[in-house]
Amino acid sequence: MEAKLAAYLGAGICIGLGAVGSALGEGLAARDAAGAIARQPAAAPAVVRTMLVGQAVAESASIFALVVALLLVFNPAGAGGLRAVALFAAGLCMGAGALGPGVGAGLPAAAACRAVGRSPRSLPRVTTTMLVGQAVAQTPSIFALLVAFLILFLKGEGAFTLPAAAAVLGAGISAGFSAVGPGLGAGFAASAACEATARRPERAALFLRTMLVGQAVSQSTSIYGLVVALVLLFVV
Amino acid sequence: MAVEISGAELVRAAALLGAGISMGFGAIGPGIGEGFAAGKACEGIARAPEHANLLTRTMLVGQAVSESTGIYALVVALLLIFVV
Repeated sequence: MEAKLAAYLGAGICIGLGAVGSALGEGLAARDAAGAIARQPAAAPAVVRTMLVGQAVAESASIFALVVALLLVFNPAGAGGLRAVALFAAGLCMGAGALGPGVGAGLPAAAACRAVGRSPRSLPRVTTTMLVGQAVAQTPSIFALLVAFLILFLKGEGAFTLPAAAAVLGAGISAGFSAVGPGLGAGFAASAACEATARRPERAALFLRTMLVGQAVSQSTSIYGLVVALVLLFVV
Repeated sequence: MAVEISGAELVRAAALLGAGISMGFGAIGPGIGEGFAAGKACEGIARAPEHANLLTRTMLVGQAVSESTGIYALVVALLLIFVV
């Protein structure tokens, strides 16, 4: 009974929060694509292609949230108080975890649309930079998905104790919310790298390197969040 | 669901939940801030590629300072889990 209740509550929070980031990011990409086409109608095919590829990647974070929400709705296996907390924590983790990476993957897509509109010949290099940057921006949402699955499939057996419940909930909060900042931050870096690549395509490798170094540092806090979540799940 | 909860259990539970909250929310700021630094470094290098090394160095120093609060959050989380 309480497990089902928590699963439905968690599912709502999961896709409710998880849809926000991707929708925002894809909206930014569509806005800048429309602006670029208005200025350069001849570049429309290249801009639309860039927009669709970029939006597809930005969508993945909310698809993770959808998967976890559907699992919670259709398969809330188990019973008991601890299982209830675990199901809610899994939903909260993936919902919060999709917020930042959704926007973060949308930012480079928007920058790539502007860039391709301005100089269509830079399309291949800008697309490469965009996709690499988006991939890094998505990693925190994959950490959140990992922790949500671990909680969903491994946690909640045994009797309810307050410390055990707090550890599972804490793990979900840690992995979920720690994805917000790094996802967004990696998106800022990738967005600037796309614009720089469009301005000087011959220096694309230099921008890619700077972007990756900056993103790697920016990702570190999401790895701390993952480590704390794993400690809370398996060591405590 | 009648559960007996002792004071020690309550403290332990609060410490574990607090660890998750500390690391989860503590990671937001550094992630965004370091992203700003990386973005501006890319912009700067696009404008002056001959200064790429200087800009990368400045970016890394700035990010290291911005990272410090993320490390505080990690330290507090680990203290709450293992020491308290």
